[in-house]
Amino acid sequence: MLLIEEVGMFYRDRLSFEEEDFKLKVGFLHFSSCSGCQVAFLDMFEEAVEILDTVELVYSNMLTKRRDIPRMDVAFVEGALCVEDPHHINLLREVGKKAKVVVAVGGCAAFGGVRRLSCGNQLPQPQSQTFVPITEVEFLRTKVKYAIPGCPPNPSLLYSFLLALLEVNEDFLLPFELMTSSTKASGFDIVSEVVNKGFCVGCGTCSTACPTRAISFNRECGKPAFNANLCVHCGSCLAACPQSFKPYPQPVYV
Amino acid sequence: MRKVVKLEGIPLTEGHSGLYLEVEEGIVKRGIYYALVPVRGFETLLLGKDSRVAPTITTRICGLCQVTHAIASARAIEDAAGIEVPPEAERLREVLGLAVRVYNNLLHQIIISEDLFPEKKEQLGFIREVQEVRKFAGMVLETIGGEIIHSPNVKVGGISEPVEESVKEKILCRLSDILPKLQASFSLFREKLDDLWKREGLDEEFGKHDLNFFATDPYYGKRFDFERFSFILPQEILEAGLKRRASNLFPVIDGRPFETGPRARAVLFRGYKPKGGVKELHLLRAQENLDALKRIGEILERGRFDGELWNRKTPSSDGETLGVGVHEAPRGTNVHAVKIDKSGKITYYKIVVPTEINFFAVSEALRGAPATKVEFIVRAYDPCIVCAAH
Repeated sequence: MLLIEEVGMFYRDRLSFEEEDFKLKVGFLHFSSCSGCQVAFLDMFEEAVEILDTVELVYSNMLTKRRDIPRMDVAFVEGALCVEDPHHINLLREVGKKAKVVVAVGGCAAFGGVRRLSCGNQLPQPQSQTFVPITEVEFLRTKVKYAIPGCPPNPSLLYSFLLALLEVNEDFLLPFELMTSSTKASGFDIVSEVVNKGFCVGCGTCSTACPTRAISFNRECGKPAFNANLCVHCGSCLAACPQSFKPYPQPVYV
Repeated sequence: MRKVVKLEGIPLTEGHSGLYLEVEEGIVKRGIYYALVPVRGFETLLLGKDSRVAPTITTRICGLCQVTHAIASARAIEDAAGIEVPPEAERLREVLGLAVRVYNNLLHQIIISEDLFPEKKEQLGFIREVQEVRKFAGMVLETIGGEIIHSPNVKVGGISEPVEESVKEKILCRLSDILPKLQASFSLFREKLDDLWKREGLDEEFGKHDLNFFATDPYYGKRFDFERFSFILPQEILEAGLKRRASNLFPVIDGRPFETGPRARAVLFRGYKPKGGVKELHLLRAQENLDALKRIGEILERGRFDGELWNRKTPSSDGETLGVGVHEAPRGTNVHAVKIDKSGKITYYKIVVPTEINFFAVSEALRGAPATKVEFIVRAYDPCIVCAAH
């Protein structure tokens, strides 16, 4: 049993053993970000109360009084790791030890998000400039199971994700699993991965998914028009695109 | 005997912050409150960027009071470039600001509900009530601002999407249902706050300080002379171990520290006589929710917002004029200052957020408090650490 836990088989094993009093233990951790993703969980409004009643919230600086980080089944991590901050690195290591599964929530944790624009040199701590999404952190590689795109992620998407997690709905969770190894997050990728590869059907889903309205729809040619200035690298467009997750290998052009 | 106590991480507040306390016989003689979240560099990352993207990027400073940064940023650029904003757009921005005030103040009530309700069942009941009102505020933010968190519709020059009359009617109709609900949850909140103060043995003057108050407007925000701000670095007042870690500046106005926020607005614009102490801060914040909802109703009833609300003039300035944008955020006065050049690129950006101004107010309020109860003072100010370490 211990061995299974070690290699990252997670809460579903517990489910089969302790079905009676099983309550999923979740925690929220905040790194370099705006806290908006955690607030987005609360923006499920009434459903958020249901969730708080169904799962056991064991750690969140905002919502619990607990100071130390307990063992938990799922850790929702928002924000990028700031390499210059020793507290961040220690905290992330601890999360890696205490949590069975880590979920990267939101653009900053999953793909770097708006942190990709940071360049440091601001008072009072000009040295803070290296921000790394947690999906790229080597010592967490086996732990980060899912990445949720968006800036912030849509509350109803988070609700569906939590339900899928509780029901172990693998079909629903698969795209989130794939996104942990993806570095594709911006409108440039919509152009290079979908439009330029001939997959774009002109449905316009990417333009409706974009939280900054950086993608509009070019009616002349029926394809997305991308304004790079407004892009915050959150990954919403590529995640929403019905053509971006193909079950077969993507074609390679030589 | 004076002892130094250092606390790191204050539960039931946003972000990661710390307290440096000098304690004598259990009473705090001197305290400093500071942020420990790494600086993300919003002021430097904007340099050289097209000024029209600033509201979209600065709104991502904070996930709790998002739209206030977008509004302050847009107003600062309009001020620098001399862009006239349609008056209806300004009123809609005020509505957005007030909606986020309700949304955020109630979030604070949810955050501290573990303090207020020892019984988990009661706590969830309270959260359920509060969430209904937050859902309404979220609806206002989403229909007018485009999204609940990080509104994309606040643009330099106005609001990008008009609001149809039918949509406006829908908001007004919901508003009349929501007001009594907010009133009921306010009474419950007040009752539970009294219980908390009794349970913890705190007196009415707990957390009192004698600083002056700073606010520019009860609802929206008026221009403020940015030159009056000066900034104290944490390295100047904190000890060695914290010099490389504390990540906020301590802004002062005319060289003196101030308190900003709901109490400042009540004192300066409603003739409120402050009793001191942090309990009234909770109550004034809750009172502001009711005022804000009523004001939203007034603004929407009076105007029509289905025409063009966006002056699409390209911003351009001489690179010297300092544009200042002020918005009364939930926690106090939020100020953005910007300089832009002829091509509309940003050459200077500075952000002063309310929590930064309040760091000294919290530090002052700690003086004389029992060392075991200091967290209640910090929580009462509803600090937003991510804003402070923008």
